[in-house]
Amino acid sequence: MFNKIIFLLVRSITETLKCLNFLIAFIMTIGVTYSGKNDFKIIAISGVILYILTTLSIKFFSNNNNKSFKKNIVFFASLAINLSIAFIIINSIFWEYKVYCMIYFFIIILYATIHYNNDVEDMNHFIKMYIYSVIITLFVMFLIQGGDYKEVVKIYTLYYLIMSVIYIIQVNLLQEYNYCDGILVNEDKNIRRFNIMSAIITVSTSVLFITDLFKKGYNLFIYVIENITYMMMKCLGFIMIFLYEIGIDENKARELARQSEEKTNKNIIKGEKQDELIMEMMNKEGYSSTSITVAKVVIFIIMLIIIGTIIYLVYKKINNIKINAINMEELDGEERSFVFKKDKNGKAKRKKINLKDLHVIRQIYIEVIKTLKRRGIEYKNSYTPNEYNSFIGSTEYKSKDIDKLTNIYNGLRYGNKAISKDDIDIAYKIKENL
Amino acid sequence: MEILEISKMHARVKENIQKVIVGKDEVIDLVGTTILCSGHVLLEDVPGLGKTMLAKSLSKSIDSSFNRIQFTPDLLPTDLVGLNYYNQKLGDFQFRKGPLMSQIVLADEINRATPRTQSSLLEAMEEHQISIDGKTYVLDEPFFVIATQNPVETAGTFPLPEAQLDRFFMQLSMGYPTLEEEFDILKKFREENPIQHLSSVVDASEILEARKAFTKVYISDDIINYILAIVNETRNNPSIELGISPRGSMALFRGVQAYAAIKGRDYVLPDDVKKLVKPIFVHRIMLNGYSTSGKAKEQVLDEILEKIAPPVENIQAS
Repeated sequence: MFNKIIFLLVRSITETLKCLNFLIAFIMTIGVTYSGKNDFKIIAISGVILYILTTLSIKFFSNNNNKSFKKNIVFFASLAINLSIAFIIINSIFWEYKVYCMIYFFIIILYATIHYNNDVEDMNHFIKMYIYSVIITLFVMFLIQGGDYKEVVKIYTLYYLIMSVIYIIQVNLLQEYNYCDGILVNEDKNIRRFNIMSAIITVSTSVLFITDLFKKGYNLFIYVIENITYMMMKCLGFIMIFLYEIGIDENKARELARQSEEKTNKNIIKGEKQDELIMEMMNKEGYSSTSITVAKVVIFIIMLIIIGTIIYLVYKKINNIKINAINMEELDGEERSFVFKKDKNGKAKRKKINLKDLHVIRQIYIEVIKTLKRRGIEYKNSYTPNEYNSFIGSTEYKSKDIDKLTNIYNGLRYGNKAISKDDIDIAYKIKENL
Repeated sequence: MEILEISKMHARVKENIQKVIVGKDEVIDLVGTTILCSGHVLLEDVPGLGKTMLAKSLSKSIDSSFNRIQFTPDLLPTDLVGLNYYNQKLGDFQFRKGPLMSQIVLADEINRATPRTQSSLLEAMEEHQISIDGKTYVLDEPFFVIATQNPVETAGTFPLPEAQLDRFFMQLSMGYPTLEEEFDILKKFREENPIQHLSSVVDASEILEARKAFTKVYISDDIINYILAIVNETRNNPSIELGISPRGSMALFRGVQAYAAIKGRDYVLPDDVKKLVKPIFVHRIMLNGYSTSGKAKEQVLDEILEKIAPPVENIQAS
């Protein structure tokens, strides 16, 4: 009974993950528009197109029983799709996109070559692909000057971290399924090997990713704001492109199940019949097909809500960090002295970022900008305080108070003026009234 | 003289000029800034937009001598600076002053004169003196040249050499008036030219005093670094072949101080820098390729201003 519930749950998770692809694409498109970074848009759009086309091509060709024919057709179809997308993008683009396109192109060919081999015995393909793609990525990045190969490697690291988790879920799904059917698939050498491999990759990628994150030290905030969000968005683009693996791995899982069942002279389970067999098993235990379907739908919806909530919370958190963070590179000497401290060797170390060290008027001014930004009033670094004030004047937040605060701020910041207690009181009131 | 007095003085001049020139607040402010900085203005605009009127009303407002020189291809240097002629009656050489020897000079269509004649302006503009036959004549202060050139007609013109362009503190454009402004112009000029009734509101000594006083305007290190960052970008920008010289950065430095003073502030804002970058730099840069139009240069300068962030608080933009 417990196993069956777990199975149902795991099954729901994988189904939710599939739906999540589209959710991710949707979020990415919104994120891209919000962030104004065009390269995300191109990556996202190409990812979505690629995902849809490859999924369709795999679905179509998987009905063909001729294995080699299927392999070749899928490979060439995929190659053609990738090539055409790559060339469409290459023709319209800036240098940076060309770099990414070339990486996509190389990796997708490599991936397709390995992936469509369909050799269930070769569980090492995952690690091979990881190594090859990183090598090729680095190679391409070194060949093309000006590329940020570090970032690409980081993206791959995160990508494989996520993919490893998905693999583990799917293998466990297979195990749970077979437990339900009374077959001890976990004795299978391949499964054991796969689990070990996944665990190693997961741990190593986690270590890589986490240490890289903390290597930044004093620069952590900038990293969180710019790189993580930027990288996450790009990473989602990569996932979009590669996520069709999930479907393939299900086939692999089914293939393993089929092999196991062959050993025990059971019926061969084909992909399409999997759900029917689940129903059949559950019925044997006394569950009606309707109740099972309802249970699946309910669990599916719950999972979707949970994942949606998590995504929303993460987004909110990142947004908060973004708003509260300071871009160190743009701080002037005086401000930097508050943020950095030097160690014995004279290297800058991160000091607790505390705006309280700045003059109270500047703190209030920064907080007012942040508050307005949260309310949708855009702030550009190229704005002078007066330009920003004029911009606010064209919005619903137009007020004489902001004019006053800007004047006080200008006097302090650029005029080296002494600020009276009355000015500070006025500034506080302005902040409170906002 | 206090900073506030400079501002009031400028306001008086501006009000007086605006009895004749409708609108054009910004141009008048920038001309005022140039006079404070002992500089000269190059007005690049089509005929009939009030350049001469501006120069005339300015000279009347300042109580100074004024001369208009129409530059033509046959104009000689001596026609500008004056010459020593033999006076038969006295039996000796006598000096006859040229039109350049006045306080406010309108050099109309300056690019129509030959480079030789244009060059004769150099010493006067830079040193505020004229040397003829080994004798140096110091020009009366405030000495101020307003030169004009037509950006449309290029046939039969001699483009100003870089060295000469660099002598101009600012390059401005009057621009067409708005319909409302033009309505006011027509009404103002219905009976007679209002310039006839203009009287001086400032004397030369006040201007000279203001020239000393405005340098007290505080300019923070942040603003200086901002100016330098912009200047540096003009030297490294791929679209620009010839960037801003130290004379240019000095001009911007002084310019923003003077501009802040006429606005009644004793400190410089980043807005002042943004406002003055284009008029002070546009004629000092040379673009790559063949494009020399002011608009293309302004576009490049706009891009630089967008790229170089002013010293403001560091709120993450994206």
